[in-house]
Amino acid sequence: MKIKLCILIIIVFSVTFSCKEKYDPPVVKANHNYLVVDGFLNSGGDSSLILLSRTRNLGDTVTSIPETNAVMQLETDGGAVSFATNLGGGQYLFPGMSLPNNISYRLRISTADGKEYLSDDMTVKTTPPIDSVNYTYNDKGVTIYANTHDPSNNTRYYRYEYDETWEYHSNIFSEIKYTGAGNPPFVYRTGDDWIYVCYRSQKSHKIYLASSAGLESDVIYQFPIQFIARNTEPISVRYSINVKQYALTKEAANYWSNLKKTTEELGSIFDAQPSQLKGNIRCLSDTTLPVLGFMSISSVEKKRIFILRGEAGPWTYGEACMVHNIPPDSFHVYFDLWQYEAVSTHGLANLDGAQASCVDCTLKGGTLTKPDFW
Amino acid sequence: MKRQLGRILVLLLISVSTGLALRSQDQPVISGDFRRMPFENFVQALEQKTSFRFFYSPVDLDSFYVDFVAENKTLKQVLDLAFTGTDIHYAIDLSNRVFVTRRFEIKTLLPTETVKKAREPGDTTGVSDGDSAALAKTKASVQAQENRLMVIGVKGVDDKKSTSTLTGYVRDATTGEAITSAAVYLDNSKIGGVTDQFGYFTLQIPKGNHVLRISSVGMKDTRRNIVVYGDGKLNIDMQNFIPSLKAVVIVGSKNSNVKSVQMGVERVSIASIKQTPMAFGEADVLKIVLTLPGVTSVGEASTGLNVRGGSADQNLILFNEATIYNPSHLFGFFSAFDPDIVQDIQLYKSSIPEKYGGRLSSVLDVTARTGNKKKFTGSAGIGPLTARATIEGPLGSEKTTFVFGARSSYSDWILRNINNKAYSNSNASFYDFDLTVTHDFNAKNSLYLTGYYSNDQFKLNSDTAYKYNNRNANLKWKHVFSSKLVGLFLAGYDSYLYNVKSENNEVNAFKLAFDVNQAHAKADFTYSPNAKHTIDFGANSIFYKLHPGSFTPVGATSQVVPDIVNAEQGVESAIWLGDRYDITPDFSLSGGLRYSLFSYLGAQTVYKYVPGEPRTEFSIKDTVNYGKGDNIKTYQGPEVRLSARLNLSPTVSIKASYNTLRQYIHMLSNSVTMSPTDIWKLSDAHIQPQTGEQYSFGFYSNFKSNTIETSVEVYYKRMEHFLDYKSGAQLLLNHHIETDVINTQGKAYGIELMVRKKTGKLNGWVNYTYSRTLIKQDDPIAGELINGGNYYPTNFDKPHSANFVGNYKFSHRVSASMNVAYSTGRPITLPIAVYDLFGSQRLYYSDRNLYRIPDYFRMDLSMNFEANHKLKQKIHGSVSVGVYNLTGRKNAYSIYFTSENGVINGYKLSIFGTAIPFITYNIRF
Repeated sequence: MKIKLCILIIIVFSVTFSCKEKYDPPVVKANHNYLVVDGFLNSGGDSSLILLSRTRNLGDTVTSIPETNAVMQLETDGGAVSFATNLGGGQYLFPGMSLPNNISYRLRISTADGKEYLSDDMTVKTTPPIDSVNYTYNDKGVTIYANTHDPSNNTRYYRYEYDETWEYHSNIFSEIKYTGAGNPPFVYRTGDDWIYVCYRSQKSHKIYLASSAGLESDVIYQFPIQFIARNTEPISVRYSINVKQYALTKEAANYWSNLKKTTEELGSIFDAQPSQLKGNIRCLSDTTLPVLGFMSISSVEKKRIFILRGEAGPWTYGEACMVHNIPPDSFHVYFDLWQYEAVSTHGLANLDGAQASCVDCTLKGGTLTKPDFW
Repeated sequence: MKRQLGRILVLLLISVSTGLALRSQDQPVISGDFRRMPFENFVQALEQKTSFRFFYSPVDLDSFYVDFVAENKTLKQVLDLAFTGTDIHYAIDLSNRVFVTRRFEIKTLLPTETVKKAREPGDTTGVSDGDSAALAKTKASVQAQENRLMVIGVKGVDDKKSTSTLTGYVRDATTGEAITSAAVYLDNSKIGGVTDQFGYFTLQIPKGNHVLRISSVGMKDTRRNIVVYGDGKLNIDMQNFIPSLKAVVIVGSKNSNVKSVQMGVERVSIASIKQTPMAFGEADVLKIVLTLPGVTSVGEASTGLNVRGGSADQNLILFNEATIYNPSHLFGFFSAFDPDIVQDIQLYKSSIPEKYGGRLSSVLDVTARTGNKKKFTGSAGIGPLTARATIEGPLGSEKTTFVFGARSSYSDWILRNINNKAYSNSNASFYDFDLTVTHDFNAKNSLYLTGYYSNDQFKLNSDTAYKYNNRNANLKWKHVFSSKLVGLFLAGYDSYLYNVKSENNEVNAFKLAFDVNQAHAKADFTYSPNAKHTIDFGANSIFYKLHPGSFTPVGATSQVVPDIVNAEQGVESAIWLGDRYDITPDFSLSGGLRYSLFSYLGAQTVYKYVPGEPRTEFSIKDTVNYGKGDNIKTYQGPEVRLSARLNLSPTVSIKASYNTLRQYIHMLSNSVTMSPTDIWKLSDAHIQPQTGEQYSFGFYSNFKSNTIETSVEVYYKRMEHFLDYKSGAQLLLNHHIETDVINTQGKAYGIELMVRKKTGKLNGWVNYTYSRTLIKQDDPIAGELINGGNYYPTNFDKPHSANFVGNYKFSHRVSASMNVAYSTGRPITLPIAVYDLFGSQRLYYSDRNLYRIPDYFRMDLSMNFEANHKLKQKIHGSVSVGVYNLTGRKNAYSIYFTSENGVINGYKLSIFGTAIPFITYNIRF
């Protein structure tokens, strides 16, 4: 039999399929209020700042719940070694301590709700000095590396932090300041009220971990710390990075490594499975109560380097800014309403002015204060 | 004189088979007054007057009177006078016996051709193919076949043995297609078997007279009267159950549940698949598997099966022996198998035959139809999303047949209607083709060619294009060495690949690709030396070649740095030997041993890790390079397959089984559902093969003449080296995947209750399963103890699960189906708090899989209308109208949390958030 073409009937219903609803399982809405211990104990003589806070609920708009009225002490088997000062706002400061590395220590925290928390025994890890911080560059940008080694092959796990600071300039130097009154209606700027040179600092907020566990000798070679894209603000004048190196125990390295891996990006159908992290601090009255954070004791090694513009290849940075010649009858409109800044005068009644963002470097987030080390 | 017609019939035919001619001329002359005489008295009178003896059924003839006077008539004339104008027939044989029957006629002679054939040694057959085909044309001839006596073997040749081997094919009388999984068994005995994928069966039966019964889903039960002298062949044609038009009937292989030695085997024919309501009105092979006890899936749009607590990659999914790596289309809305091509499916979940291996949980064997041998036919169907067509028929002669099916989606409207921007800017489409060609050289040699190709592509949010496809081809040669030994030789190639392409941003344009390829060969033999033993043995080998991932730039301007993970190679080989031993008709044992060996081969770069340290990037100590073909690591081990059946009564049996299995290829999936981007990975120097063992026990009882089957099965499973993932594991493009996976130990246990009614106006099944599947990771070497090293539920642990599938036939043309499914929600890890640490906002998660998404419940309803039932009509149409998810329950597919303006909110995503009406039109021509 031959196959015939057939007329087929199609009826398509218009329906809506997928739907998304707000979902708040009771456990997510419950007020867990777990203690969070953030910080590390410095064994090298500097003070140590510990932050105590409480976990927030998902959906909370509060940005932080500090734990304010706690008592914190560092102890050994022989008793308390040091007490922290409550600075308020959940900040607790231990004074500088020199901790011998042959005994173990515990951090004890008593919170205002009467609960007592104690860390596991911690040993002091001595951080070997940073051998060098250097950088390489290519047409994409600049990469900064850390190098270290431990001749005794004892450290193996390292964590890095950094503070970076850079000097930058506004696009247009302003030599006068519009005052709105007087004749002439401006004053010349002295060095004290320049708004041309700014400094900006920021801290690392990622977790940088390095390990030599797989190597014969305890060497960290060219561990990448930071990358600065070419032709961006940080190296537009002068840049500095202060790399801090902390030795970690294996347990601490595992904790930080897992914390680093736990994804913070959520929301697609192909989500990864996250999981829980267990720190080294327990609540004594309820050992099942989670306490977040991992305490460790070590010394800190720091190394700072500077990079001048031009030391990392050609660097172009700056915005197109227009200078307007403003007649006196428009001063009010430009300088008061449109937020222009006066730039210069040519001895005439008219003033040169430009948009504030081109003139005032503080508007980009920096400060005018030169750091001590600069 | 008590007459037993049935018993004598046999004697009659034995004597006939000697081939002597009937001599009627020497008959005595009869006179007498037979007016108003009851038949019994009439017979007495004749027996007194002559040496003839009469045989009849008193029930048939007790109200029959003769009314005539005979003078000098022969017996034949007297009987003609007595029976003319009635439905009573008679027959006289050589031994002066007279057989009187009502409504049907007894032939005391077989066609001379048949008799001649019966004398050919080694090829003795009761009815030849040609005979059966001709006879099958009418209902009457089928009845004649059923009533005829088939002689198997030659009398006196094999007198020493008490049993003989009977082999043959069971085929569809109309189309000539092989009928698989048909039950072939002797009446009043426990001897029986099931036809294989070619419709072939082998039985060991005692010599003597038997009634052989044959039944299969969707076909009319039939029987053959046989007398066995020696080994022989018998081909059986079965009639389609015509009112069904292949779509409305379940006629079960009655009794097979109780009588089969295997346990935990689920068999579903396409007929019952087609009558179950499905989303978008399309019959779906895998969705029906989900309604069977012990089978669950993680979500609605997922065809990843979890069988008895196993993960989705632990199922071997075979389509005519071709391994299908991704059995789903369109995010799992459809399964990869065209319902018009499929003949039936079998799911082995506890006693897995020794010829199968390489996966831990189950084997899903999907068998395609062989084509219509007699004529060209076709079918087509159209639903809201897809259109499909099938053609089949003989190629040249009846010896070669083919079936070709094609299916394609034609609309993206479903995605455009999803209330989510990410989906409404998307498009998706798929198509698949399958072809099977069968060629019978002769009765002993057949060749089978299978080809399968499927392609899926979708674009999410009009940027990234995903594409995946399955390609499979294999060639099988079946050779019948003798009636006791049958061999099957197979060679084939399977391939699965996916790629993801993004070209929107020409600087970042990339292509991410992955594939798995396997070339395989197999030889499998079935040897049936006598009635008590059926021996299966063979060997197979699979060569794997995997490309675990490549990330390459697209276009000249792309700045993407190519990242290519080394290809992986491996060879998995196995030999097996199994024996089914029927110790007594009521007690059978089946034992098998499989020995598998896997070698992971170069070229490869293998990382060495510091012993005793967690395997991380930190602890890489050394790298070793292996050359092409170098043996890097070999794993091997035996696998045991044992099962036993004890019949307590003809309708009650108990079964027990013990299985061990090994798996050398694993799927890496960090997402909850089986997604196209899941990667397959071979066992290597670090990742050990998964091993598992399962104990199961079952109780089976049938009621109401085997029309209602009930069963209770319990199982306990252990798994070793089951893979789970570290927190935030990176699976894609990972050059050292061993640093991101963890070895776990698993256990699973459960009880499955099932009641199935196979026939009648109301048919279907209802089942309930309680099951748990738990794993633990207590190896400190992994660096991270999940949930403190305690047992935790797997992603697919769903303790309670119940299904109802029912079909009610109002008439031959109208039927209604209902489908109800309930299960506990799957486990989930929830973020339960937000905190700041190290200058960043972080989420605190609960223990892994501590919570569950809401329970799942769905009810579907559909009505099927057949246009008419005229057999001669050229086009048969049918319409299905129904509603999927009748209650409109918003079953959770996924629970997710997302950060909106610095605030983290939880959402529940439902794939089908409402009731979905559908209509599908199907035609056959």
